[in-house]
Amino acid sequence: MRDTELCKRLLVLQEPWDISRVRVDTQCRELHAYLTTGKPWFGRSPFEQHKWRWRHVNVGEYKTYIHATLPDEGGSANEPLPFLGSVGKDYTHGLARRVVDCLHAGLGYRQVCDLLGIDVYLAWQIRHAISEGQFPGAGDKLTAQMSAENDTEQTRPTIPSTGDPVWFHLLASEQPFHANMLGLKLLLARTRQEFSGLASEDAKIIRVNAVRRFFIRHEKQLGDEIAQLDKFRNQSEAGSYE
Amino acid sequence: MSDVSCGGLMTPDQAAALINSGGVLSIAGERELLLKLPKGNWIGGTTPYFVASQGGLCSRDYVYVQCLHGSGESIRTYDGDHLPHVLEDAPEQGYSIIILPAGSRVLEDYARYAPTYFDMYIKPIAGWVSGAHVDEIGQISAAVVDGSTGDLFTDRAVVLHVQLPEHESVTVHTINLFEAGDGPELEFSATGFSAKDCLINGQPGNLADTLQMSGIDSRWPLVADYCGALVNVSIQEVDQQARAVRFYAPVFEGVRYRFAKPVANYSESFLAAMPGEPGEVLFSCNCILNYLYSNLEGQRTGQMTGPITFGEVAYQLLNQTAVYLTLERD
Repeated sequence: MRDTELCKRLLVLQEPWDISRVRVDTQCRELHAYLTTGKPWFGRSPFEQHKWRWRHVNVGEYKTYIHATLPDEGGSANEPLPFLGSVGKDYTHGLARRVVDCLHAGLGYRQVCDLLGIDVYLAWQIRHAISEGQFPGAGDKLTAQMSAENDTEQTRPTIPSTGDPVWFHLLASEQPFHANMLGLKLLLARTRQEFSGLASEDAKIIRVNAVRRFFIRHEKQLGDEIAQLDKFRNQSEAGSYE
Repeated sequence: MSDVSCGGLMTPDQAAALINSGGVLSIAGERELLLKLPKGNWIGGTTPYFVASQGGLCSRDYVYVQCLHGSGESIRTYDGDHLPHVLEDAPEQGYSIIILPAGSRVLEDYARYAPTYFDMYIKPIAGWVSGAHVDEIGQISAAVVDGSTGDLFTDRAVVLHVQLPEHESVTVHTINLFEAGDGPELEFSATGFSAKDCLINGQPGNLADTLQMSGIDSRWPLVADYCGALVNVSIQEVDQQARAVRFYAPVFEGVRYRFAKPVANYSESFLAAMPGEPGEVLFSCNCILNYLYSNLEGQRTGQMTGPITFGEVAYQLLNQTAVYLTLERD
């Protein structure tokens, strides 16, 4: 059986979704599955497709990531297929369900994150979604249960979530941002150049996700840059941002 | 050639011994020399120019070997259709070294579209463009070699993806001698390797005419400021008859360029720009234009040794730039 076929079965994909390629990173113990619907993207070059990346339920010991282009805004993207996620979220519906199931089974939120290998950034995003009632079946009881777990305050992430307006201010602005790493300079320049011309909110969120991923990957080296994000936020909140 | 155990300029036999010892290598040299090497964990590209610890030289007898550091590696080749996936194949924790043949379609694709590839700028990628002796440009095709199979390509990119342990990472750096001058701001209506008309200080004009009228030295590149990173686009040819300018890398639509500030003493300035303590350098390369204009033959450039190349990759394609990778340990 081909690896793509095996992976398709492990992830329980449904038509028309299929797997075009699979990458297994043995060093990091990650499985990356690239999904396709097999449909040509008429009128859109491969570079204009909105490629989303979601963390899914682990396959064995391997953290699993799904990469896919959602067909159209407002189309099947809204169907909560377990192997897909929502626009702007970093996790699949399947992972969200697994978290809720574990919480219902009596595990603490930190225990669930440890068990499923969920990092602090994803943990905060999922926690926020549960608190906001975005997970079906989570209910007020789970929200209260998590609120009681005040120890998670100690691990509050330093890098803002995808939905934080500071990212949009940073990318829509022409204000100087001093970056030390070449990769961040080039990424910011390219993203800022594109950002104002993007009509779709999805496309903007994808750009925010890319910049945020850079910050998360290089968090230890980006102390100055993270501090500058706070300045951008403060300026924005004070109304001085143009 | 001294101390071949950690790379450098060496004979093909010495390189073969390193390959056979299981080293993960990036090798530069003449086509015939690369094709003699045994199969192994290496990638290669053609160039007879190097800057070794002994100084800059052009040699058809030696190869330049760079020993890469990592805990696992894979070698892949890409045609233009598959190149957009290059960083999807890259490890989450590690880096990629890419070699592309000069004058190929796959190089043109990379130059134009790499900034739009998924995971670009997030996963580290560096590398170079292979070429030929300057007297043979146009007669001999630049090539790359997949050392794991011994196959040579003139129309594919070869990439070495290297994994690193959790406590290690690499950083991509550039050394650029140039900064934007005080001249007019240039904007192009389309991304491409050549240009005729463009906006000059917001007014329509012809670039070739401007170059001629202002007497600008075409050895100096166009420079764009990418949030503090200065990126050069070198001028390959000014065709006064066609009123067109050809570049070694594309100018991008929407990016603002200026002519570089003239450099008084290219050679001295270039050597002065070399970092004194760059850190633990894993890989480096330098541009053929820097080699020629700086008269680097016989001159030393500290730890910045490696192939002299026909384009450099620090994420995207660059010109007239030295590129290096350093290893960082937590």
